[in-house]
Amino acid sequence: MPELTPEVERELAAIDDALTGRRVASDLAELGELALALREERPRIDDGFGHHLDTRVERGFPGRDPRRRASGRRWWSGLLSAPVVATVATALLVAVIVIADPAGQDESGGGGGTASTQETDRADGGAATQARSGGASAGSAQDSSGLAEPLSAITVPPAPAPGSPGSDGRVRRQVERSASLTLAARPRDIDTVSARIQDVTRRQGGFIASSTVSSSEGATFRLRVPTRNLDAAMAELSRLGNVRSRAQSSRDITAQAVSASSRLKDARTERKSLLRQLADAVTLTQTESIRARLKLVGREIERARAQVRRVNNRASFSTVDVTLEADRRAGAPSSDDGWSPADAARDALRVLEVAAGVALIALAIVLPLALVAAPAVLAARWTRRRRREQALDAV
Amino acid sequence: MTAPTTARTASPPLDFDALYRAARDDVYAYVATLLRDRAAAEDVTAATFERAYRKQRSYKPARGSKRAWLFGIARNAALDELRRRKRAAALAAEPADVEAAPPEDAAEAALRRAAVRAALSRVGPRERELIALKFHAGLDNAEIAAVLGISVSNAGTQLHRAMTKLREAVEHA
Repeated sequence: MPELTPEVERELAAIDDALTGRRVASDLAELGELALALREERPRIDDGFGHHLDTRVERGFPGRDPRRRASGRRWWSGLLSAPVVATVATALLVAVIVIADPAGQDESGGGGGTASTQETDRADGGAATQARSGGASAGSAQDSSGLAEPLSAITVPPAPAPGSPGSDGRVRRQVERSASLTLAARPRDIDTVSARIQDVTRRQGGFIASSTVSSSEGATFRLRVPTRNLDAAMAELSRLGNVRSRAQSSRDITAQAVSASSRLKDARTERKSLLRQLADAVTLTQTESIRARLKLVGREIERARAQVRRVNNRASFSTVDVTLEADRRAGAPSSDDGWSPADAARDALRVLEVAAGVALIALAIVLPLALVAAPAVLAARWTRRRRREQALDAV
Repeated sequence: MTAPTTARTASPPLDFDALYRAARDDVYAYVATLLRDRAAAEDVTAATFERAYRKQRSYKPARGSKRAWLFGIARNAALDELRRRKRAAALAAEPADVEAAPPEDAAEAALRRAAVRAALSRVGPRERELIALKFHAGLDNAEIAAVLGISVSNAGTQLHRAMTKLREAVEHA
């Protein structure tokens, strides 16, 4: 727009001068009078309406103006009220979360994660032997006696049957204990919880007989834990995830222990007797016969010793079957030492991750909508403005 | 006019009560001139202040004066009213004589006023709106420019053009 010409500026100034009571140049006096006449034509507000409006303003415009005529307010204008918009936005957000969070989806990505299966034995001699024999015996015992059947709580060892070796109390009772535990953890926590299970096992003096870990699906462990530490181990393990099920069972194996000990004792006694007979033997035939018998007894002693070790191992080490299930809705694994600053930092980071994720999802939805809506809104505004101006021209 | 002193819950950047007290009669005068319908002008005036009251937090001082903001709302409300009347095919403009002249006026002054009123009714709506904003609402040229969404020099040019047409209409009245 070009600048105002001096003449136009002078006339506009004269109008302002007239309206503010200043002197107007004589050649523009008529314009000044017209300005004042126009101001005199100013419509005056009706006192009744003025009072009514004052009252409404004073009360903060409560409700609908009773004096107001039917307006041209559109039926859909109410749809844009704040509560409606907030409700729609919330519903949209919930729908986004539901869509973006399909049940059972693995967070680790990479098409299901990595899986590894391992059979672990202890490397040191005695313990390895113990582990091998214990594991084997535990497995066989479980197969034959149904130890895997879960119990609702820790059961008192069953009373020995009448006439059993332990029933008279002269022999220390041997009890084989086993337990099973099912935990749930978030898919991305599977590896962490698995590592903690191994830590707990080692800390309690036990070892892992076998394990299968899948980062996306879960893990299974067969642990061998000293029976005296079974309760402590179960308590620690239960804190590593959401406990889905927990069972313990026990079986009196005193009879097997006594039987194995008796066999060993009998074999040793026979060996001593045979050694005495060998010392007293006179003929070659007697000597060879006794030596052959000694060989058989020696093998019997070895078998009896192994049997005793197996039974003792079953009593002194308990089998704990741990199943770790991946569940996105499970909580975070708890720390062994309570809620530490490191946990707080992790939680804060997790909150930020979730917030960033939600923001990203919202952005992914809002951005295309905005790209579509922005031109529409601009067009609507332009159209509305144009129609208003047209309405003015049509008067 | 009473002075409403309602306590507000927060302190918005706009003193609505003060703005209302200062602009109530000006808004009505502008709207009444534009619509030439007393009842419609009252409705639009009330709607203007109600909208301003509800949207007072949206006022941005950087985008113009409070009066310009308020008259922008009044203008939109008035144009919406014109559109509604157009849709309803009920455009029944009242006579421009919205305020009867007192009978004791001198004859010359009465004639002069009658000529001005007649001229006002003959100029176009855009010129009448500019005159209403300038002489009835008391806005300066910068505020008129802000209300109409044009530059200050453009507002001055249009106002000058409107006054020229009005002077011609008065001469021919």
